[in-house]
Amino acid sequence: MKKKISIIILLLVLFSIIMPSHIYGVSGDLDNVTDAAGLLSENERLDLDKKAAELSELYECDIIVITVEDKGEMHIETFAQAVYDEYDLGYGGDNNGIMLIISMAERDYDIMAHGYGNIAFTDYGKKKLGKEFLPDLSDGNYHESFSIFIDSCGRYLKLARDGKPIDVDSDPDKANKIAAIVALVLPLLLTVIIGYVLKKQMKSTKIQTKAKEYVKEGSFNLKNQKDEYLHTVTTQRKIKSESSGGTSVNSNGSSHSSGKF
Amino acid sequence: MIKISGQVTNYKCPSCTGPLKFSSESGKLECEYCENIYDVATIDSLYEDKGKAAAGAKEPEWNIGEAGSPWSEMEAQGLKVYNCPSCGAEIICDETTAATSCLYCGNPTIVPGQLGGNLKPDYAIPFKLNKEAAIEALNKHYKGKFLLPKLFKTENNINEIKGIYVPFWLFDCDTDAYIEFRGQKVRVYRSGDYEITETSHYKMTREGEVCFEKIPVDGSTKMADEYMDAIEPFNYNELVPFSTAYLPGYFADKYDVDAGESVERANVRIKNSTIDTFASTLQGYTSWSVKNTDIDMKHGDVKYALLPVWLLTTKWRNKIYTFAMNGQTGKLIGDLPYSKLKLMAVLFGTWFGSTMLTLLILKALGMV
Repeated sequence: MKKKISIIILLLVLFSIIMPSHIYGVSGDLDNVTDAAGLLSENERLDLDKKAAELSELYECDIIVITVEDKGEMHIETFAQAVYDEYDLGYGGDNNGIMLIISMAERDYDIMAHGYGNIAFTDYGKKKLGKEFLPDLSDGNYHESFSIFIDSCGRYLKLARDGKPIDVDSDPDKANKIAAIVALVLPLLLTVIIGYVLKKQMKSTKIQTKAKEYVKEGSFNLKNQKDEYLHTVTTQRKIKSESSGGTSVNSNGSSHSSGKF
Repeated sequence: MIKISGQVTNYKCPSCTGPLKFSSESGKLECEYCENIYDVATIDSLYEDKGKAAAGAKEPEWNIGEAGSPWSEMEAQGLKVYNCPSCGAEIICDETTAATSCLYCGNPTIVPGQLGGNLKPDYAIPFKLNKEAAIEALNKHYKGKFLLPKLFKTENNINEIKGIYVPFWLFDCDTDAYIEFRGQKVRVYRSGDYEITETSHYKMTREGEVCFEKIPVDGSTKMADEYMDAIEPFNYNELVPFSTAYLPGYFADKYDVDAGESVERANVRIKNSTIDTFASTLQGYTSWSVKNTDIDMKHGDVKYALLPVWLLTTKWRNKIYTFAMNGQTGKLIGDLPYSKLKLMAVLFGTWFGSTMLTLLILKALGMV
């Protein structure tokens, strides 16, 4: 076991030194949107880059999109971390940032947050963010997908700046959904009840099917009673595990949400 | 008790021979002309003597064979003709009418034979409330009914208002019951990541007795069951042995649904309430249902009673609306028309208003 771990560590170190700059062949600073896999036209890239740069400046947290053809053997999260470190990505001294990195070879993606990004993009937030842009990414609508990612990041950052980062208990969309259901169902229920009560007032004739009033007082004599246990049926239902919210930050000071698209 | 034999009876004031009426206020027979008041028992015994005397008297012989023509079969089945003992006019009524008023002189009249013989009621509850009380109750019935069309109150006139002694069968019965229930107790708890629902099934048996007293079932097809059922209950403390002296001034019908035919309706009520009574001993079950019942009804006893009902009919837009008031307790029932426009308006108003209010509350809570 120990041997295995040390081999992995060695590989990681090697990759982290050699791979990233090797893949890009780019030196110096990266733009907000770097398309090494060639998924976007230059115009599209410039358009996205401009939008991402503006939002990054506004919220002092870099929004980064990177595409590569093949990340190599590394795990996508390790790869993302290596790139982030190698190019010294992120805003300011704390390297605040949120990065989407995709590798086309095995269709991997990773959403990585660092510094202030960890506050704005909680574990729940990153998952939710994934749901927003992944359908387009899977369909090959790259420009659309990245555009959604950048816009969503802007929205998440704004909410975080307002002191309400999206999390399990503070998802405005979830609250909106609940509010919409309440606003729809409650008045409808009230209307039905009031209509029923008012209409019932108009009808007072009724066939009697019971004779409770005519039970002779004190005549009820219970001679025998027995309650017998027969059997028990047990059913179980898995409870949706609701994480307590927050962000799980690793030893590099980053958090990830990764998968295939 | 008087015997009625082939002759229309109306009670006459022993002082002035004016017609006597039973008064719901005083519970006595009153003369409208000389204002004398008589006990039911006094008049009862007076007429019993008269009846005996009349039985001994010889009828004058008249050749009446040529007069009139026979009723057609249909007419003969449904109608009966009597002479008003006060003015001599013909009173035509159907075969179940036992008491009515003369169309010409307004004399309250009891039709012979209808309540005699084996049809004689055992009990009666005399009228306690008068016509004015019935009209007042009807006006009260209209109040607080938001959906009632506005014009119904103003355009609608009381067509007819009648105090009727309605024939009821009163069923007494003891039940010996064995009832088997099935019940569930449900326990929900959490174990790790799972919510466990444990449903335990039980068989519960109950055995015992319960007795019922005087379950009323109306014995008149003229009276709708849902009307007569809805004006229940009557206060049986005021049940008195029947006397025709309670009838003058009111209508009275004899039964046309016999006790045998009515028993089914009583049985249903007895069965349901027996189950309810035993079910009230079930404790701690989340839900239960009846699996088997064996209800033995014994010591069944039926009594025939005339109970007081005010019947009011109103006409509005070519439709007749009927209301019934318990002549003893004043409970008035009867279905009312409703304005569809008002209903739509109130539904829309409620929906719109409550939606706005909900949105405001949600906004205040910061949810929208």
